Amino acid sequence: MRIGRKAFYLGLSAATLAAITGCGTSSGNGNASGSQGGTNGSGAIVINFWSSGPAGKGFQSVISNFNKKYKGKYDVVFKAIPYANETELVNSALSAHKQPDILEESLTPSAPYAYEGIEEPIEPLLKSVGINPSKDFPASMWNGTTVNGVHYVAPLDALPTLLYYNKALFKQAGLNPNDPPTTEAQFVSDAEKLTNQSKKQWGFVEQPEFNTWTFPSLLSQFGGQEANASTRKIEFNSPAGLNALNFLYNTIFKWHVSPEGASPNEYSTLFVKGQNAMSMSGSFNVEAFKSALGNNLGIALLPKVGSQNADFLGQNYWWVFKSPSLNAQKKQGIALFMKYMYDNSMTLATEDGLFPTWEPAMKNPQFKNEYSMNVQEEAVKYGVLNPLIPNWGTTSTQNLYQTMDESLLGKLAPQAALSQAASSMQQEVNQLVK
Amino acid sequence: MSIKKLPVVIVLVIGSIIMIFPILSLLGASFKTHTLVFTGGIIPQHPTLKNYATIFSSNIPLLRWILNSISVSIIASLIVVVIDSLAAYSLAKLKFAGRNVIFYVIVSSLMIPPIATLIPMYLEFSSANLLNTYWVLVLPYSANAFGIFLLYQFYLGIPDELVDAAKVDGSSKFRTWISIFVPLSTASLATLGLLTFMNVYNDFFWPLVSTNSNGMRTVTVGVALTAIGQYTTNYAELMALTFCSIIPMLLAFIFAQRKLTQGISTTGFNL
Repeated sequence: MRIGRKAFYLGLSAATLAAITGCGTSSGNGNASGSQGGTNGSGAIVINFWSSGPAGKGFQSVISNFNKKYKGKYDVVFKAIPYANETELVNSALSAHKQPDILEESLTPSAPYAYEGIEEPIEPLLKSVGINPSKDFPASMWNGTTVNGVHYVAPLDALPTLLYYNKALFKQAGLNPNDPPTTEAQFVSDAEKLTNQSKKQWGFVEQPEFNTWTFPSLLSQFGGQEANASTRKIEFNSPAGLNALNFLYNTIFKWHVSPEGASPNEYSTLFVKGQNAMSMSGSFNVEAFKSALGNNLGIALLPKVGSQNADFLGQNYWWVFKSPSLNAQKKQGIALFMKYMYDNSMTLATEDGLFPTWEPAMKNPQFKNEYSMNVQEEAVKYGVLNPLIPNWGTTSTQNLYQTMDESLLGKLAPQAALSQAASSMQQEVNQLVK
Repeated sequence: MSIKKLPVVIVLVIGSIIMIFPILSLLGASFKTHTLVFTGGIIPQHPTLKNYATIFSSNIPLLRWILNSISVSIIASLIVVVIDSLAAYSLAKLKFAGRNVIFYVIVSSLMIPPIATLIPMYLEFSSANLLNTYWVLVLPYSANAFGIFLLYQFYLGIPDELVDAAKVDGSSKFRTWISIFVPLSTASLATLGLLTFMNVYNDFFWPLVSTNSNGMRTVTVGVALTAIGQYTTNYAELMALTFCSIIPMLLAFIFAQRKLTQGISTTGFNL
């Protein structure tokens, strides 16, 4: 039987359209926010949980185990969302009242929602399942995370800033590979010995575009802070801030232990190639550096460049959005789920490499044996966080860090860079939080 | 080849190398390890299939995402071609009150940045309960002001005498469109269809916002969510995933290249 060309194309189009129409409904979880506020087919209360942070195998297996344990009662529907587009995604959902019940993100994005009054106070929820936040969470991650005196967020994992060093390069330079620098003087002395420009080897790579971890750490070590969250006054242009920036600046232009104008990711690329002996960066690099350097990887606390130990913590917090469906039963489910996740912190640590914020887990002997966890635990004790000011991440990147880069590229003096950044950022913060 | 053409050929070869460099770089990086992805040149010193093995041995539903992208792109392209062609025909050749006003309103909508319409569109689909369905991935692209403008320009060039002759022969307006305008504009329609296909296939933001479940993801969203982490990105795996995801687009372009260039030349449209 012959089919005409027109009939064939018409039939093909119709078949494709029919296929699409037939699949017109989602294969997943109903609408874009899951079964909003309702129950699933088996009558379980649906808890929508979005995360722009961890979504590893361990993380998902804990969620799955919770769903098995509470089958027919609660059903946690997990959705991973990209960190870079989190705001647009959540705000769209909020506009249609399809926000998730729980959102996990880094700390400062929670601030605007708290100020708008659309987050649920979290302390009563935690206490309802026996969590004592001031005892069960590290003080550095619980204290100072309030908005108008109320806790809306709870920490789930931490990513401290660490000193990574290459033990093989230390040995080659005649340094003790088990004695990483702990002071500014030692750091500079070691870095100078480790720098060999003829071999294109650097003691340290200070990289513009990558100071969101080092600068707050050093600033705090010199006794300063980025801003006062309650008065919203920008404070990084203090003598402490200048000392912190001067340290980074001097590694390039005074001590010459770091290359000029390092390109994006160069600190990491050179480190894994054995051309960068020391790196100060977040614990997210542990796995990549370990797989590249193996036993030659050393991990230590940041050296005490200033007058005290301090360590900026990357972090993930979670919070609960108020919604019409948030009744007592659902709140109970959310609280149980949070407790379940904390109780399974060891799974998150061992399978996903997440540093838990659950103090009871840190007492676990198994935890102490996990690679680098003891150093991270020490770092968390000295942890500092970004100030809880709305839109801090974007404004600090666009003002502070971009201006700081000008300085680290040798185009602007450190003092001028900080003053300029503070002025523009203060204006922006004032506008944003009117 | 004459000697006169040599400079042109040299320029084109240099241009081609520049254009193909990112794709070759992507391909090379996909055969490197995560830690060494930014080292060395395009050709990996120690090539590995690990990234591809990880993709195909894990439960990443890459094929499903690619099929989703292809399906919605084809359907959106077909709808755009029909709707835009009808709209352009009526605006270019039919006489009715407010024709110019409608045309300018449509064209001026091109100046509205897509991000400005994100929340209204999300609310619209939410109220229709169409979020996380294939409809939400197809309908927003189904009437395209750019396509109307493109075809309008082409249809203006078709002599009115042809329309008059069809009318004398008793042809209805719809019949005139289907018998005269569609056959005359196949190259332009193919261009519009292919451009729409590429636009829908490559779109990231709307599918990200409007879909929820893993099975409903398009390939751009799925790839980004798989390989781009909060603080780190597995660039080697991202490159391997991206290379797999662009294969359908490469094939579409290779097979439709002739129609596309023909369409561009007949509409005077520059990419």
